[in-house]
Amino acid sequence: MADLEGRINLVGSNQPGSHMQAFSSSDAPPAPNLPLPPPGAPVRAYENTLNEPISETIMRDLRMIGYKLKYVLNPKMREERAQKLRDWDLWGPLILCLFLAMILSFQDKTQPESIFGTIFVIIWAGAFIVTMNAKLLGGSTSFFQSVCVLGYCVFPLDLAALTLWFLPRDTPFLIRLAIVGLGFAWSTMSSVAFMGALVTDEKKVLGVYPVFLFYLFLAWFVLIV
Amino acid sequence: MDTNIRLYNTPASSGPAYLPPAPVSADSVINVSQEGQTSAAAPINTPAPENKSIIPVCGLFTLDYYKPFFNVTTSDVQERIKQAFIPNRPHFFPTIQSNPDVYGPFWIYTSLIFMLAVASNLNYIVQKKSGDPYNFDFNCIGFATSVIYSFGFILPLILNFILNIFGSKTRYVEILCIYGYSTIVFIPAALLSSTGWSIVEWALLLYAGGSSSVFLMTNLWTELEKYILNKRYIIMGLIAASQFLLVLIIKFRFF
Repeated sequence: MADLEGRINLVGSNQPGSHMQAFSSSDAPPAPNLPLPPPGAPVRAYENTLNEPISETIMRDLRMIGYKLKYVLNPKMREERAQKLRDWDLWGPLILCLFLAMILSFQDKTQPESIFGTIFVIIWAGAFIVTMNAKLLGGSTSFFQSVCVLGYCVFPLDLAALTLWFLPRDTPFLIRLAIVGLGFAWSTMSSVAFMGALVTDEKKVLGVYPVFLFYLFLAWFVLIV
Repeated sequence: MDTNIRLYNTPASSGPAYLPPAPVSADSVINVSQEGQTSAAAPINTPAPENKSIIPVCGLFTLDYYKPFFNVTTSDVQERIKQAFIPNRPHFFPTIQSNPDVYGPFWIYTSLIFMLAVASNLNYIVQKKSGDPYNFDFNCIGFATSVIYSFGFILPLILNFILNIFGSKTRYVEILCIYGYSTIVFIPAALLSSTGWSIVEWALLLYAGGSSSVFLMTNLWTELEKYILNKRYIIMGLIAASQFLLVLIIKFRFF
């Protein structure tokens, strides 16, 4: 407790600049008497992070999002079953979902709100249902970790939607189909690597088919809007 | 002191019929006799998880309650789907009676919703003249979801209720399973109906409705033949009418 009192004294002192020094993270050893995190919660939240500058907090979250995106983009990383994936977060899926819904609703002039709502509901309800399916088939995963991975794997379809938006209106249908097909294949491969490992071999197709249907639905949306 | 606990109505054939002696606790619904006589517990409708010895009252809200209904392998589901395409053989019902599953019906309904949306869009593209603006109505997806899920889950409930009133001992899950697998015929029918000719659409959808009705009737025949003729016709009429209603809704809303 001595260092805590030291910090309080520093804040209360009248020296100029002492307030700034009190809040730098360099002189804050981890406090020993914080409560232990409950099992399954991201461990990082329980370090002594109260005194760090906001930029550090935001950068840490951005780095986590970036790491998970690299997992989706890079086939090599899938083999190592990255440990950091245990730290699920829902910021990434939310950003990607909103991005996809906004791009698709910009492209249609007649009923943007219907499209936005449909995409949003499909992504979140779909991720929920696919995860429940995996758990009911006997898979052992934390619920939010699975929703997190499914959400992050929407990223290739985001890129496909963005590409299609910037193509001129009269590109032949086959080229659009090829781009969306590539995005769909990429999403599904990334996701199946994770979901397929959750269930036993004899139920693998049963666990993977809903993932396939989920991304197929989204890909079809990207294609026809 | 020997305590034996029996559970009735466990849907899965696996799982022990007798559990190891359970500690008596305040929220247990099992009556345990203390004098060494074997006593049957009050009939409980929840299936027992393998390693728990106390069953909470409201098992309906736990995940473990539903796990026995997903106890199928890939080859099981493939086999059931293949059998569902052949409407006039009654071999489906005995197969599933020991292990009905909810996985098949649920994902068949979801695939049907997707297929209806795709086919409806294709049909629209094929049918519109080249000068018309392209505005596909996305609200049909919400409509499809509500219609298919209500047909798929509530109709078996009604049918099971009526069958139980007439004296059968069928369970909701079994009827749901038959209904779900009978709907599989609609998926290729919907996909092929996107060609745009009205006569083809009608033919395919009527075939799908007829095939699923015949499948339902054939597989429930073991139950139905126990009734007198009037009751049998009531049920057969109900089944045929509900499938035909589904065909009409699909045809007029999506194509």
